[in-house]
Amino acid sequence: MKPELKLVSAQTPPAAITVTDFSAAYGDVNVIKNISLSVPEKSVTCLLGPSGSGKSTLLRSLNRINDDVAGFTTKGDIHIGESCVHKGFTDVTRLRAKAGMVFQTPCVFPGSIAANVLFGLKGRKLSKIEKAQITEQSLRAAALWKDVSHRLSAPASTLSVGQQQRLCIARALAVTPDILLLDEPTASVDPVSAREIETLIKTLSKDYTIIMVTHDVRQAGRVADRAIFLCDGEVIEQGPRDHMFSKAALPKTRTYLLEEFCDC
Amino acid sequence: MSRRALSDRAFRLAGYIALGLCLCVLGALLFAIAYAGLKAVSFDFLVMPSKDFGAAGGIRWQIIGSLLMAVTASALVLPFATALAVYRADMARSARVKRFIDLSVFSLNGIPSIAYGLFGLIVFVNILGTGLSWFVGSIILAMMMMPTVTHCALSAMQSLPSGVRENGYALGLTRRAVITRITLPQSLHGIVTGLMIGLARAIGETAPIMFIATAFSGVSLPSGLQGPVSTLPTHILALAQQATNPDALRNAWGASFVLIGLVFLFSTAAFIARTRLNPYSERL
Ligand SMILES: Nc1ncnc2c1ncn2[C@@H]1O[C@H](COP(=O)(O)OP(=O)(O)OP(=O)(O)O)[C@@H](O)[C@H]1O
Ligand SMILES: [Mg+2]
Repeated sequence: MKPELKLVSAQTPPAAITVTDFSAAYGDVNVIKNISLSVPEKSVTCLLGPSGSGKSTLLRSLNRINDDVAGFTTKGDIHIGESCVHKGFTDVTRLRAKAGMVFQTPCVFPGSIAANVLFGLKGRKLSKIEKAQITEQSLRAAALWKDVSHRLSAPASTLSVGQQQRLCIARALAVTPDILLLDEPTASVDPVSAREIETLIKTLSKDYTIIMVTHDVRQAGRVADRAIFLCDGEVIEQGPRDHMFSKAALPKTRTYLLEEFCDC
Repeated sequence: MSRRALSDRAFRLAGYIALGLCLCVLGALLFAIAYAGLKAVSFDFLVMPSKDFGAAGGIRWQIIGSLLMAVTASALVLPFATALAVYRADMARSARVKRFIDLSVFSLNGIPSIAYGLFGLIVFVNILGTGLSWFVGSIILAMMMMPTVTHCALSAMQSLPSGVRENGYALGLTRRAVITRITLPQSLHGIVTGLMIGLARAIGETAPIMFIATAFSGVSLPSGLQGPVSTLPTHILALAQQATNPDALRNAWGASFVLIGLVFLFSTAAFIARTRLNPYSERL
């Protein structure tokens, strides 16, 4: 290994995700235009940018859930750790288990709270004790255990929306991912639950690499370790939060972060 | 009164009239059949084999024949219709393929039942040489039920909350797992409802099975896949033609009453399945 490389990795944590010259299109419409970025391990990276700038598309390319969208094509590379998302994972389901995703609107499955937590594990042979352990661990990790430990067999639909969103996080955690992809996870919950989820995300970033899309600039200011500012399919600027939110940032970035407005 | 309130009233009135007419027709039909049919129906009528070409005795073999064909037809149609619906809902990607499936299902639904009967006669009995066979009749009935079952199953699959499948994929489920753990269990109500509606219709059909699967009288259980059975609709048809024999007519009404009872049973089952088996029904 070259000495320069070592020097770099001593300063910043190793990149968990690297995106190189990546483009994505729906049919003929290019929505991500040749971007490169890196996301460090065990931290929160916020994707910011105006509506339609391609944040969700980028996120959904990372676990290749957009593969199922008709007409979706990509160019360039995404690496998770050492493996290329496209060539390294012949089995896309393994990639998706490694990079869990939580969507804007919580979507719980019919069935009990416990069944929801274990939903992604149904293929595996687990004893009752193991199941109970996984359920408890995942719910604790998602800060939901206290709320639901006494009613694990109640229908998941009886939870509040904020609790449902945390259940979705617990469900993703149960399949032991390294990465969590969160697409506006607090968009459909009330402010109090949103704060709870923010705290949770911050806590989870000790163990997981988290990429979170958010519209709420102040939220990004609270939870992000790094921020990436995306506009019209291009990365305008990326860097540590303090840099992005300081005067040193590019004028465009500053305007967006202060006024949530972008002229690109 | 404002124009708006007036038109509101007019629509309401039209609605009541339509509902009233609908109930009148249903009521008159049920009353007529119950009034004439109950004179014939007794426990013996249900369990005794018929005698004198149906003018005496009961309708044991007709009930059994009808149920046998209906159940067999359901068993045959279930895998095909479910597979088609799953393919259309979760697998087909091209819009043209989807349109083609929809069009086929709708056209199949529009084909008159006598055409199915002739198809069965020509293809199975004449060309394939099966002879009279209740099983061939069940195949034809299954073909008739196919569009209904497919349509109901597909509607249920398509009306699943957006995102349930995506959430499954995001957890790392394979397509097969998404189908077997999300799509199928969550649209079970549609499949069962379709099956019950299809059954309710199939059990009353005469035309498609008349030439190929049924005999008017003198048969009991077939010994294999071949051979005819006797069914309620064909029995009623045969009895109703003996217009001068009051006993035969009375038994025709009796058999109709039993047939309607069966149809009602399946329709009720369809109705219950639609809400009971729907995991989202309380939340709607
Ligand atoms: N399935 C699709 N088919 C075609 N175009 C799409 C599809 N999904 C998104 N797009 C387009 O791609 C562009 C980027 O969309 P994307 O959802 O990634 O934006 P976003 O940054 O997540 O926006 P928002 O903040 O509103 O969620 C938009 O112009 C959108 O219209
Ligand atoms: Mg989005």
